[in-house]
Parts: sequence; structure tokens; C-alpha cells
Amino acid sequence: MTQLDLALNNTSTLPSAESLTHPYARYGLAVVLAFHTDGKLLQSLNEEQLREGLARALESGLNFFRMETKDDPQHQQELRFRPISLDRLRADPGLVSGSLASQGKYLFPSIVASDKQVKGTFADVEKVLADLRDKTARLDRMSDLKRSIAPIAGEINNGGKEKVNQRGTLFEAACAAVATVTPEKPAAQFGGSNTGIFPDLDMAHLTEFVRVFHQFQAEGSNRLNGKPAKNGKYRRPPLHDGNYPDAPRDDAFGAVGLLAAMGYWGSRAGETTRRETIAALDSLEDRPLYLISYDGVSHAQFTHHVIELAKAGSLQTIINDFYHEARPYAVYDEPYLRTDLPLVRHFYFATSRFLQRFDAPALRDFLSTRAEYPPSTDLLLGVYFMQVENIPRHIVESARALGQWINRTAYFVADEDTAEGTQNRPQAVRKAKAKVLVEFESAIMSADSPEDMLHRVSTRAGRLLQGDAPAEATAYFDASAVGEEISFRTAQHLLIAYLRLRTAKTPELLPNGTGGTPAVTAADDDSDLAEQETQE
Amino acid sequence: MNLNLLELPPHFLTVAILTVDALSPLSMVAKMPGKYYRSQAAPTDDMLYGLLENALGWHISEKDRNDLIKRIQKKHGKTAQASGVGFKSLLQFHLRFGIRVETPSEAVLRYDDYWSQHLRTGGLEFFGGSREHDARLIPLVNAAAEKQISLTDSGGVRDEEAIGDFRPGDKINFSVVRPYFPRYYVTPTPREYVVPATAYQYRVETSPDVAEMIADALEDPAAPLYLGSNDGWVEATWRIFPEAKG
Repeated sequence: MTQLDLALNNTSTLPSAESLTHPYARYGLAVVLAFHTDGKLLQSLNEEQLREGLARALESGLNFFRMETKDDPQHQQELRFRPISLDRLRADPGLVSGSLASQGKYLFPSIVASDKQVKGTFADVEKVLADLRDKTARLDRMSDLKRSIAPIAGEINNGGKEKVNQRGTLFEAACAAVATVTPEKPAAQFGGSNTGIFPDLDMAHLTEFVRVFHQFQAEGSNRLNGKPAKNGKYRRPPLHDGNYPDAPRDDAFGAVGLLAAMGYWGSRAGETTRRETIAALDSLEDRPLYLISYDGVSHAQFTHHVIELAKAGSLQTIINDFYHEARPYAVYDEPYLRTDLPLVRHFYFATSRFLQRFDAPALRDFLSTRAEYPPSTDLLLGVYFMQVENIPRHIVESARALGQWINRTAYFVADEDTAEGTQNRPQAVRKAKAKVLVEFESAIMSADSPEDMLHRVSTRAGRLLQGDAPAEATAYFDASAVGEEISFRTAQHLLIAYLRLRTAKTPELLPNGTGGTPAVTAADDDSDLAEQETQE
Repeated sequence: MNLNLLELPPHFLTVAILTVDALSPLSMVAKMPGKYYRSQAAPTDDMLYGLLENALGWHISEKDRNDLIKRIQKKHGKTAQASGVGFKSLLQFHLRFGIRVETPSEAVLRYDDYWSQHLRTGGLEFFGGSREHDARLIPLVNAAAEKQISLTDSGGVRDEEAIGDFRPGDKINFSVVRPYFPRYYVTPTPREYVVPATAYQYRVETSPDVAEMIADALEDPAAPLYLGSNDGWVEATWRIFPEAKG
């Protein structure tokens, strides 16, 4: 009992929210308080109501344990999945565990368990349920915190001879069990493991987050409908990419994808919902988000710059475009995006880490993979250079003008140099453009000083692009040479980032033979520059 | 080690400020350890009691500690609080923490790192995870590494002589080999570390004698001071305010 309790003459022996210091158990309690106690606060609940609330939350979670589909993948185009009810699971243990994935009976991604031990999770959650409904089992009775109900806990020696499970009260175990099975949490299957995303917030903000997420998640009810695999076998529905709308397709963007999608939805919702979503996203600033699965735990944390982008709805476009368009030059020969290649994984990992850390070392890792960025990345880079590195706006815009000029002109030169009848012409143009850009990048990075760098850039502009750098680049050149407002290293990064940015007017060249027609021809080059500045 | 002070009735007239400054990243785990160690942003009261007892040199075994706690409980008529791992501080009756100035959760830098978790068990994990074994076991370990023999939990050869005398294709029961692993096996476990932006400061209320004792201890601690994991070294200072009333 706290001092405050004594002062208020509160002799309740109920556990308090403060006793749950771990965010995992706290999340479970937040779900109970948000949905299963008729809106009452923890202090005003009596023990029976609390136990019943916990039990109901557990049952609700077990009702979203496994899914099945009545559609036949060999003959139908759409597989509609529905949850298997708890009564059926209890009646038929064969539905709880076994080689059910081949029958299309997948685990919901919100069940934080692995296929091998999910039987243990089901059994132990049922046991906690029974204890909650059993009046003789006190809430403060110590019990084992097994990994089946709390995947982050484990067996350790702690001075003993053998490894043993750590102990917690029944209340703590119940809250952790709720967190493990509840569908009211952001979840996806990352790397084949069901992973839940748990924000580390205080109870008030956490309950708000749970409520906002519930509304957000409700928009994505069609994610349970999927398509069969090409060979006529069952395939997981989009729910496993993320149990909320607009979830990112790649695991690397897991946590930031949640922020982006939530912000995108909130920015388009009604006034009250929008304000609630903004408040929920603000509360996540600099607080860790734990990605917990049975196999491992990691955490992510976001600065307020990225949260602002999420709130405005722009982050969703940036990530989406990035996933669909950004390609490392080294994989240009691949006919389609292969996300299993180590180079691509490193690229996504570095991007994801840049979005989290949003500082200079993270930018350097992000820039370490040579790739072309989609036009929407412009906003991200602008926010970074102006708000984090505090480079004056006119210098950033000047660097941008120069980088974009190099990028566009490289395209035109590549387009001209590639003969008309070349096989797979868009691919060839793409590679030629990449070659030009890489030469610029090498020149910039191997320069000894700002003057050397500018000299090399000008020389190559003349030689490769047959033109002079635009007048708008002067501010950047001057600032780099002086070196006061912008260091040499930053100047290099600034230019490289912008010359990789595909301008909105140059077409995206897709490797499978398609490619848009450019909006302007090479002849309109100079006049187009002025037009572009106002548009971008 | 003067524990007689603990028999005196507690009173909280003396105020002191305890300032704890982290010298390296801290990993202060309060709940649910095992697979992933999540750190608090600030130490719990039990961790601070542990820090002070460390400085005092009160490294008492569990059995003796429990006896002492029982005596003190009987003397003062209060129940002892235990931490999540069962640590019962001897100081808890005579010292309490009041107002605290801590780095808020948003301002600490958090990162994950691998930590060498030392474990001990009777099972087969020992074999893969421990480099410390008796030299007599070397031929067997080499053979197992080359997959000429295998170790198993159930069945297999139980003859103790099998250590020197085995043939390719043998299945040897682990109980034969287990006594030759004297210490721990190590498994890298992810652990969260925090780097606080500022020092932690606590207003402490205690009796004058205890305050003096702690002041002396922190001048010259009996052991390195740490919070959370024992590589989280800290610098602790203690300032008594004789004129302030608790």
C-alpha cells in the first residue's frame, strides 16, 4: 500500500497499477481497463470485478487464437478466414496445435507464441483463467511466470542450483497472459515469428493508445481475406503483415510502419479521432516500443521529427514509396525486388534505423548503400537536414537544386546515349544513369577538401552532362567552401542524398520493360528547371 | 560491520541528499528477467538499498540475512518488503526515500546489447555453452565436435569410463560428462541498457547515527558501487543537512 493509500484511508488490498513496472504486463492491464471493466478505473473496482475483467480479456483473446477458411485454394480466388471459437478449440485439442498451417488453420499474429509450443500457451492461459474464476486463489499468490504466458520471462538460476522460472503474483501473470493473447495490440509476423508491438507508456496514456488503436484496427477488417498461393496451396492473409490497415510489407519497417499508418489514418479521420490519434502519437515520442516475439525482443524509439511526419500523414507515403521504388544500384539486374538478398536487407535495416535514430551516424549508414530514392523522400531529407543538422534553408535548397539537376540531366544523357532498339531499353537507360550518378558520388566522397569537391563536381558536370551546374547551386558551393555553416562531411552527405533523389518529372524505370514517357524532353531542359523549383 | 544500530527504534529526523551519477550504462531490471532484460529508467528503492548496503559492506548470506530480518521485524513490529528477486534489505526500517529527482523515461538513451548470461543446469545445454571443463574431457569434446559421438539426455552409455574409452558412433549419456563441468555455461542474452541524461537525486530521511554510518561508508565504499547489473558502476555522494527536519 502506498503512502497515498494510507492517507486516503484506502485499505483496498487490490494490486495497484504501479506494481506493474514491466510494460508487457502493463499493456495487458490497459486492455482490461479499456474494454472489460465497463469503463471503471482501477481504483474503483472491487476484486471480483477485476478478476472478471481479466478473465473476460483472456477469453476474448482465446477467441482470436486460430483462424480457418472454408474456401478451397485450388478452386477459389479468394480465401476468407474467420476465427475459430474458443468452444470449438476446447472441444477439439487437435485444433489448438499440430501441423495445422498446411490446412490453412493459421495462428493469429497477435498470439505471441511459436507453433512448436503453442499448446503450452493455450493450456497455461486456460489455467490462469481457471485460477481467476476460482475464489480460493488469491490475486497476490505467487506463481511461476512461464514463457508460455510471458515470453520475455525465462528460467534463470538466481543463486539456485537449477534454472527455475521466476515468480510473480497471479495478478501479474494474468496481466501478462492478456498481453500475450489479446488481439487489441499491433501485431504482425516478423521473420516467421508472431510479434507484438508494445509501447512503454504510463497507464493513462497506454489506455488511450489501446482505445485509439482499437478504432484504427477496425478499419482493416478485410485483412482477413487473402488469395491462395500460386501452386494452389493455402496462404496467409494480409493480416500477418500487420493487423492494422496499410501495414508495411517488409519486416524491417515494422515499428515505424505502425506509426506511419496510424498517423495516416488519423489525419484523414473526423476531428475527435484526429485529435486523439495526435495525442497518442505524441505520447510515443522518445518512448520505447518493444517488439516482443517468442524468439526474441528488440525495441524501437522515435524522435519527434519522425512523429511529426507521421501525424501529418506524410510518413506513410514516404515508406510506401520507398518500399515500392527504392532499389540499390547493385541489384538493378534483378527482374523483381528480392528482399532476401543481404544487400537489400542491410539497406532496409539502415533505413529503418535512420528513421529511428535520425542522427548523423544513422544517416551515414543509410547513405552507405547506393540507391535511387523516390521523390517523396525529399520531405524526409529536408526535415533531417534543416531540423536536425540545422543547416539554413537556402543552403539545403541550393544543394537540392544541384542534386536534382545532376539526377535529371543524368537521365537525359543516359536516354540519349542508349540506342533506340536496345533490348530491354528502360533497364539499359537505368543502368547508364546509375553509372553517371555513381561517378559523381565517387568524386564527391574521394575529395580532400570542399574546393576539391566542387572542382570535381564542376568538371564532371561539364564532361558527363555537357552542361554547367545551375546558378541556384551557388549558395551551396559558397557555403561549402567557407565551411562555417556546414562542415565538409555534411556538405558531401547533403549533395549525395539529393543527387540520388529521383525528381518527380523523370520517369521511374521499371526493370520488366515498362517505363513512363518523360514529361519533358531534353530540349526543354533549362526552362524546366524554373518550373520544377516551384513544384518541389 | 556494526549492525547494532538496527536494533534501535527507527526515527527519521535527519535529512540527507543522495546523488547517484552513472559512470557507465545501467541495466536496472526489476521484473520478468530471463529471455530479455528490460531496464527501468531509474532505480527502484530496493536497488538503492542494495547500493548502500554494498557500500557498507553488508554482504550477508541469505540464511543469516533472513534470521536478522526476522529479529528486526519482531523488534519493530513491521513486515519486511522484498524485492522481485527476494532481496530483503536490512536498511529498509531505518531509512526511507522521499522526493526524488530522476531523469524521466523519455530522456534516457536506451539500447539493447548482448550480455553473457551465466546459467547452471543439469541438462544438455551445458555442453554447447561452456568452455570450462576438465582437461580429461578434451578427447571426448573433440570427438563430439567432429560428430563422431553424440551426447544424449536419455539412454546411452552410462559407464563412467566412457570418457577415455569411447568408439565412434557411441551415444553417451550426459550424466557421465556433467561432473566435469564445474562452473557455468554462458549464453548471450539481449539486455537493455539505459544511459541517464542527469544524475539521480534522492531526499533521504533517516536517523543521525545511520546517516553518519552511511556517510563514512560512501567516503570509502567496501565494494564498487553499482546499480542494476554489476557492470553499471556509479558514483554516489551523500550530503547531510543537520538543520533540516524530516
